[in-house]
Amino acid sequence: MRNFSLQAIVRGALLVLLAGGFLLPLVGDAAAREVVDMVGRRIDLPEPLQRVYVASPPENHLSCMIDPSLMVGLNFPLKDRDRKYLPLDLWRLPVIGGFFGLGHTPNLEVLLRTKPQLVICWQKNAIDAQFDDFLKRSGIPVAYMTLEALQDYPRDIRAMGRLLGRPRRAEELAVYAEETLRQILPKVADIPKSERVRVYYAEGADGLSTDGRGTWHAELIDLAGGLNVHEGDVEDLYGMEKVSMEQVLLYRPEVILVQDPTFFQRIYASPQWRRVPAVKNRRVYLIPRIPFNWFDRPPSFMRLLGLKWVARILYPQRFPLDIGQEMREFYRLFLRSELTAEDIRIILEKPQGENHG
Amino acid sequence: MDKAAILDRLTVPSLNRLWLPGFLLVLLLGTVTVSLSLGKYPVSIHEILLFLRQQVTGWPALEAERYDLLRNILWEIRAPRIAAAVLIGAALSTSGAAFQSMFINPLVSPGLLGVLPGASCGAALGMLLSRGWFGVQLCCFAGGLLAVAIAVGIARLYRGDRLLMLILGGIISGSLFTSLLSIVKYLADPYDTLPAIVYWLMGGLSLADSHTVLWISVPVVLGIVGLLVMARYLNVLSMGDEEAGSLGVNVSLIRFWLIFFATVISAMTVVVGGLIGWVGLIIPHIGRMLVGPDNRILLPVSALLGGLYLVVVDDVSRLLLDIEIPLGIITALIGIPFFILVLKNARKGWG
Repeated sequence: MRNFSLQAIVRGALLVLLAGGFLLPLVGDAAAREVVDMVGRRIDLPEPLQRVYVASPPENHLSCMIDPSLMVGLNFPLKDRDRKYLPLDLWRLPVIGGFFGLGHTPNLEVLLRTKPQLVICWQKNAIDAQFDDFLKRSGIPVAYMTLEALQDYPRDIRAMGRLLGRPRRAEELAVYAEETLRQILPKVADIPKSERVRVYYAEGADGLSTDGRGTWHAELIDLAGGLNVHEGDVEDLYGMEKVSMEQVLLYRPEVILVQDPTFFQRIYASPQWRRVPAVKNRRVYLIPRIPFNWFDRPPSFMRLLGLKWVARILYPQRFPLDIGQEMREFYRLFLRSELTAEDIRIILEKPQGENHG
Repeated sequence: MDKAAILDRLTVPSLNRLWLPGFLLVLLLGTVTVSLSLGKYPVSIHEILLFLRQQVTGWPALEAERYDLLRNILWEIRAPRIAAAVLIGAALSTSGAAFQSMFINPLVSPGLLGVLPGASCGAALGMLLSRGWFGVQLCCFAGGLLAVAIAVGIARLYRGDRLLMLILGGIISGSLFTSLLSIVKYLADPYDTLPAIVYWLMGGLSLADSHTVLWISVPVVLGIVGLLVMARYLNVLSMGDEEAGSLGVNVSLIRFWLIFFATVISAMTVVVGGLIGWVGLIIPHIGRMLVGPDNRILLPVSALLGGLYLVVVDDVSRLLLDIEIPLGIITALIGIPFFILVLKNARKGWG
């Protein structure tokens, strides 16, 4: 009964919002709000802001957590296994596409059809500049917003909240980010380089693509106090450098974080990998990816939880965290999703009957 | 071409033309041995010799830990890779040489009938459906066969010059699977699957473990032997359909088996190493420069040269930089300038 009345209220509220949305253009842009984006440009936004498209996954995912009802489209289709953990508002959104590197671009007609009042994107390459031109001609305001280093997340989440007109919600999330960074970073700062756990980040079907020390993609290893075995001198937005099997043997990683599930299935049985210390000591971990990846690709807000997970794997004595409990808290706050024990097992991709830990 | 020359082609090659394959075989074995000692992991020749002696005689020369390490590096990491390079190089070159003779055209490569796009598309689809690694390999192989079947099917639809129709069928089928591949890439998860497909298409041997190599070596060796056995008929075919028919050869049957063997082994190369281009185009040229157009000698020479070439290229790919360069990129970089040089003399040494 209570559920029903709640639904009625939500529906009513939605109707009012919808009606407001239709009426607003008639009123004209009497109500406008000026915001300053990340590169310091001033943008006039219609008030209330109701329809936003975010062009790149890291920023898109965060906006979805700040207020899913603002979003007009997705960067890529939701998988069935992920839907369950995502807000209902996202389920029926059209897929507009986005910028992922490798030449993926949004579908401009679908974008126009959704009538966004604001497009948030980041400016990195020539295709993006062309996209800006297109938006300018269509009269859609563009704000630049780039989420990169995890340490800047508290600041950036707040900035995103101001942009979207949801400062209070953003504050909640920013506080979590601050606490997480404060919980992990100082505790690993004093570990001398020689004592740091040696970590290899295995990407690709052969596990022989990686991202090195100091790169954006493998940032969690550095932040959690691990020593990324690959130097990674190439500064490249897309990443994924090839290394050889013998190079990995020389690196002697004590822990391997695996991105590709098919590789994870093979690694313990593979004769080539059997002498790698991490494989010998069975310290190979598949990175959780439901509903978004915890570690990288896209490097999103999920990395806040990912940081705790990596820290727990590298230094169980320093961080005796209950990952299940941390997951419940994180999914409740960010994704507004209540996890059962079964959900936790599924997200950690453990076989049935095995406990998390 | 006069009768005497035709008859000469059908007789056994004289002994003095057999020294080259023998020499190449020795060279290949030598290169393989040297490659076994090359790698990022520092292992001295002395240790390798000790290790091999221990393997053969069982007399312990190394401590157990070091012995196991050498076994891991030499037998489980380097050997499968080198074996895969030899197999792939030989397979692509033999099928390339066979196709060039069959189509009487020096600019033909083993991918002519669409086997490479077909296999790539199959592999990408397998990754998209993510049914484990064996599923990917199976899809890859099936894709290659399907593409060639479509090419042959299209060629059979219309009357006319059989060879020309086959080439056109191959172009159509190849383009079809190239577009299908683009669709699969577009549908693929940009974070998980797409990079995997992209790296696969660059070609490389990092996935060649001993299990895979043993498993594919049987069909590849059988396919190569099949082509070698048919070399005599290939000589007849390269004179043109009418000549061949008048000599009492069942042209379409021979052609079917040639295409079948070449397709199976080419698809197998994609299963192990992804797309490795140019080998099947340039190696037969070198072979023809060395021994002339007689397929009975050209095919084995091409097989040996191809194996040799890919082992060396793979050594470069492993050793040149700290990061590993995808094999397909190097073969293309070496292949293109070479091909431009060869193009000038393309008709030389051609019957």
